[in-house]
Amino acid sequence: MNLLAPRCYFLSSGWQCRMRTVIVQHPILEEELNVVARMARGDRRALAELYARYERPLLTYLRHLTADRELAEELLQDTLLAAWTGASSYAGQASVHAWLLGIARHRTHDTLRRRALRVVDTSVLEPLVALDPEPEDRVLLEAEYEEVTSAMNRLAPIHREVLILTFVHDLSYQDLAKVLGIPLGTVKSRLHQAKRAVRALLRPDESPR
Amino acid sequence: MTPSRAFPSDEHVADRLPAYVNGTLEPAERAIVQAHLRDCAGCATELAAWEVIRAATRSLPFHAAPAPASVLDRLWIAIDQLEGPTVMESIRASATVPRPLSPSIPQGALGQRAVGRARWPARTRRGLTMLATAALVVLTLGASYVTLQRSHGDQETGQPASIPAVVVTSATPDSDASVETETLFATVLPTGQIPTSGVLDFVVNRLSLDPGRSAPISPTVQACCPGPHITHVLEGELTIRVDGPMQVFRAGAVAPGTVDAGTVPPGTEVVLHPGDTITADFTLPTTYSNLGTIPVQLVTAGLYAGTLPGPWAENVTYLDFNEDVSHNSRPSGPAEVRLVRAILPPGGEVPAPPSSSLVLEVGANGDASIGKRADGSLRNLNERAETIYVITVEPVTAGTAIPSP
Repeated sequence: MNLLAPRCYFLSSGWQCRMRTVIVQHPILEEELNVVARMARGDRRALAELYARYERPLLTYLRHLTADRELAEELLQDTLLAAWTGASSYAGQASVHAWLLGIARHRTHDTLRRRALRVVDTSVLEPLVALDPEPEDRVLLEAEYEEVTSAMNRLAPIHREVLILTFVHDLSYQDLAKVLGIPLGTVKSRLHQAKRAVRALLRPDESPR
Repeated sequence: MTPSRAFPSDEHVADRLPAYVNGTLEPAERAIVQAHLRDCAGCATELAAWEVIRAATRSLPFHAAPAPASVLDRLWIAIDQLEGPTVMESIRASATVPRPLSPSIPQGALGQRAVGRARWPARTRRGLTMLATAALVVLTLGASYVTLQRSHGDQETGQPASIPAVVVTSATPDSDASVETETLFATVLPTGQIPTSGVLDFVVNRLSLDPGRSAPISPTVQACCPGPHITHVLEGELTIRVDGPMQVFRAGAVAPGTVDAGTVPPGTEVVLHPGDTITADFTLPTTYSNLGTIPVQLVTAGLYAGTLPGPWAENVTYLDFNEDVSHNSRPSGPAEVRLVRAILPPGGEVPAPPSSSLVLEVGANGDASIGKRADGSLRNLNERAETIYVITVEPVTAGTAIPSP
């Protein structure tokens, strides 16, 4: 399915946004459901197909959760093994992509806890959401490209994660809620907070309220 | 910013903007947001801010990092450990008793977990050496689609079968599946044409341009991204103008008085027919025009340094596009760029190109369900046949054969 969506490019004059035709992510592909159903019946070819399709996005996500590449690869294997053994319990409420990301996230947090590595306490990072206009967003449009990418790299993991799931994995709000294990309303507030955090990093004197 | 009356009172258009940007809003919601954006400058600013964040998020490191093949090998071994003896244990256990090797197991009979394993086909019998060799080759290669299967017993022969069958899914994994490929275009890009610094972006688009339409490619948008840009005509007649050097490749003879193959001066208007191709640089202002009566069908591809993900031309219909952002790998010397059309049956594969090559595919008529391995090989994951266009960029070696376009 194609539709119009804006795309922004950084030009010498600043960010420029145009409407583009983009391919929309299918919510849940029937063929993917079939792949998981075949896995539930023990068909290893189905697992290989799932691996081929999701190995790269899963590893991308895991590399954002942990900087340790070897650990990320280990977690990728754990994730797919858990998907193999848990395929029969997949109910199709989330997309297969979101289901796998949720497993990956859960395995990562378990592993990091077991290894006593630092885990971000998400409870202290939940912000209040203001629904008023945000003219401060102009700071994002006026920033240099390198400034924005630098700010992204300095974001707190909780904010970077929600942005990656939204804009790299193109998850819907429902899928974001399932992967992150939070209510739908919190998904929206976390996204707004992430934007404010980027803005605050671009303009350190501004509080990310 | 005024809350949209079309949403429940406790929700707001601003809440929907990230979903609007990533394309996951339902069509009805999308229409509401679009209508609201026309009248709300604040929302439009916020939308643009989300787009900036999207672009920056997608440029974060580790994007599209491939997993080494050893991960899949370890996964199979872990599953074997869960469900029975490991592959290597099975091979070792069978060292004294030759067992048959199944070269082909019908689809759907593979690796049934609890309901009994598929039987060994009795039609082919080979020695243990070949079995073990095949298994080891498979493990060494670490192919992603290797399917390992054990049998608890052959009820027809009465033999205890604890040896794994090794089914290597190759270019044509199903016995009745045939992959058709056709090289549409190939040429060698000289050293220096592929950018040597910056994040390398590899894109391929399947476009359609309606009769009477003109599609300018803005030079201001292009300014950031030097690199080779390829346009190949599948159907119709495309009139193209590039404000800079353009290399024309003709698939057949051209009519007297029209532009022949070769390098043409800047600003020359060239009519391309099906099978014709041009190469130019991404930074050059370019205009596509369809002066004919049927839609022009195109494949375009490019390899450039910069942050210009996704479509860029105006007035064209994007039937499909694909993109790969590579942070490290790129051909350091001359490279062959090749465009291939492949018709893949379900499970059909395009084999891996030589190492250090770049590969990208696009569906002929829309998003195709194609799996890509770390080695660049492709597989049709769909239940139906798919036609795809595959573009590869391979380092040129002494033995590289370049077919004539």
